Amino acid sequence: MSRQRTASDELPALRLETLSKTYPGGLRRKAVEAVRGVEMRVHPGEVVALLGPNGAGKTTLIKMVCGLLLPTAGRIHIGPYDLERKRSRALARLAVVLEGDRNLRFRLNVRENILFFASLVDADLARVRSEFPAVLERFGLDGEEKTQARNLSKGQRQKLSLAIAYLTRAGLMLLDEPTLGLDVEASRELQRIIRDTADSGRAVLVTTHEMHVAQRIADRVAIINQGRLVTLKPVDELLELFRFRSYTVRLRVEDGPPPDPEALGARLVESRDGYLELELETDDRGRLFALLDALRSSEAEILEIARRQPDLERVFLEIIADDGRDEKLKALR
Amino acid sequence: MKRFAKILWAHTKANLTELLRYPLEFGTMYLIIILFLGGIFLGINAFVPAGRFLGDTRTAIFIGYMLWTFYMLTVQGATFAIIRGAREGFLERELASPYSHTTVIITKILASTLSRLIHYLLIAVVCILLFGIDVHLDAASLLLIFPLVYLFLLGLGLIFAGLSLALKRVRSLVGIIQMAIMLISFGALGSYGAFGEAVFRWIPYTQGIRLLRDVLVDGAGFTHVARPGNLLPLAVGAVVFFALGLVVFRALDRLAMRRGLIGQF
Repeated sequence: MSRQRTASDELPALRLETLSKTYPGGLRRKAVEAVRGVEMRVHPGEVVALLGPNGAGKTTLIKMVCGLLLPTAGRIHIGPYDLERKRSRALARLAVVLEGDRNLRFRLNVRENILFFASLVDADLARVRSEFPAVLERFGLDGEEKTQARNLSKGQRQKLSLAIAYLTRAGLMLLDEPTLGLDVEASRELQRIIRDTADSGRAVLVTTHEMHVAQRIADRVAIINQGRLVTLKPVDELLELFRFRSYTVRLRVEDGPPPDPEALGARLVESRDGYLELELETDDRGRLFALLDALRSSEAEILEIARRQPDLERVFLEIIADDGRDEKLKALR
Repeated sequence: MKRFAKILWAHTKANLTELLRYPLEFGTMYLIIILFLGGIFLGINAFVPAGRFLGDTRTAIFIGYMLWTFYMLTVQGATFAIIRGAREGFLERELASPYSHTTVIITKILASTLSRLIHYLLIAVVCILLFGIDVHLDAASLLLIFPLVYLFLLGLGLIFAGLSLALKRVRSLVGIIQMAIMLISFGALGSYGAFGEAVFRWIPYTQGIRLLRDVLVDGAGFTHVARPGNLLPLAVGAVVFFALGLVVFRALDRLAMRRGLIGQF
């Protein structure tokens, strides 16, 4: 899957320049550096997934871009407009879906919510009215026009929030954890919609804890840890970086002592009833062959050798756990 | 201006829709107010002598009601709208718009007033008709007094909206200010010596009550209200309080934006 775009010459939909945010301290509270010098660009037509552990600074970053938080330093450009200097014009190009149930008025129905929030961003209401039957159908909300938001399922509420953002026709969409807490079907539906939205030419910056979601929909992945942007790379490039690194070997030892995994340079993953699973992480295939030779010469019977396909979750965990000494990971920065 | 009207209408319509979504609750709430005021109006003259400054005590209560409810609609309406938005979560979504936070909050306060204005006026008319309140309704004078008093209340509303954004738990403070407003309402009708007179004159709320009394009870006309000695303190006070409200709101809004408090409750 290669959705990578060559968009470097285009005007980015979002440009962050050394963006920092420190929450001020108080009498009994220390100042917290939530975001530190983040540089990032998001181009029209691409989805950038912003990943990071809890407290990494993702939501702080999103809220600064929405104009809900003041940065301590740095600049935010939405399209050609600087958010600080041309707030109104900048935010007119932005649609946002905040985390959780923050995007709807629960006592208003679907139609009323759409018109209310569209009015707040100065969207053309005549156009919104004419488009929303088709948009409701596209977002799987047809027939729910008069249902109050509080009576919708969580998945439907998320779809409605996204439909509102979609209808505003803003060039940049910020989605904070849009699939959080959804069942598999609703989550997949929403992922399809997000992908389609980007394919229609809009830029999407999405935060998520769900790596499989990021892997499925994102063109590029930004990993943020302790407020710092650790990497911003195309998904395929990140996965490629970790290719050939991990092998698992399943074996059975009926008689004799089991092999010592550490002596063989591998890691014991599981050991039960004479069955062992070892893991070898290496870029050097010679080490794999050496391991196999050592096992063959022991009493062990090799049952299966598999190359583990690195997924984004694995990549994420390695990057987050990196202490700065891994040569390969240095290339990310 | 067209864009401002658009979001004002959006907020007002949303408020009205939400109010009318529960018609029984909505209707009984106003029935209770009318019954409560009726109980006071019909029973009060049996044991309370006629007001020293107003003539008829029922009229005094009526004027008090008009201004008190006006205050409640504006200041309390603004505070509770912010608190509700923060608690239910949609406040952040409303503020993440191309409009400045000040514009959004002013439209929220205005919408909160507008969506209840019809019912406010309805209760006033019902009280006048049912309970024999004898007042002189001079539309021109009332249209001069009420907007200026409202400008003052809008300033107060902005201060409380800012406090709600920055501090969140401000209901007790709102309660204290309610008491203070009640006190100055009585103050406006009493005699507090030269110093008190000078102070109350420049508070639009009390000056508004005095002028209302002149119009509603004494039958004073537009020329009396528009006299510089009467109108100037009201107008100047209203503009000063509104400007103060803007300054305080912007400062507290920036504080909330620096500390990441918007949307928290």
